[in-house]
Amino acid sequence: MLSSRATRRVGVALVVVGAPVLHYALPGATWIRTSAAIAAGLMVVFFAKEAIDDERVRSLKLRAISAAFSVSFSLTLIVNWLLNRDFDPRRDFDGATGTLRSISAFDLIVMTMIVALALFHYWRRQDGVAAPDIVEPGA
Amino acid sequence: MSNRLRELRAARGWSQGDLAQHLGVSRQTVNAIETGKYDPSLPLAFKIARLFARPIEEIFADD
Repeated sequence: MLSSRATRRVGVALVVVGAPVLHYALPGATWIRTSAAIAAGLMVVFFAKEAIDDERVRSLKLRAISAAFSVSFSLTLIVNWLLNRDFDPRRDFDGATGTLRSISAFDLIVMTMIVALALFHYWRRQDGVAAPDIVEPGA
Repeated sequence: MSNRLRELRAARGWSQGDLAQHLGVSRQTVNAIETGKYDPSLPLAFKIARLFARPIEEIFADD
């Protein structure tokens, strides 16, 4: 079983090394394949156990991913609207001349994970900030 | 929910890190409980009560 730090490193390696290799070094590059590698890496990073994986960490992760899913779903709607600005249902919905475009499920996961990681680490940092009136013994 | 965790910890001369170690949680979690940002689960509340040898309702109060 990998330690929490090692697991996180595997995730980072997937994003930093795996995705560029898939995109630039191997033939037949497609954005979906690259996006899948990034999504997998970010998921490993997010779901890796923290050094001290207590109930507060689990609660914050759940909150972060819940909020992130709503944010990324909204972003998907906006991006899809931008992608389909020139879409004309009467002209394009016959399936022959055009199709409604959407970002991939992997892109949605990438967005969700980025927002969730940002929220989790922000809230975690906030947890560490003691109230101004709190003085640690010996401080 | 308010609590007397900070007061009880200070009475023992413990830092947040010391208390966190006794409870098996992180220092940030202890800080979040003390500052009222987080209400602990029942098992953790019982652990805190046992550690300070007091009933839960003496440590945590429903405002």
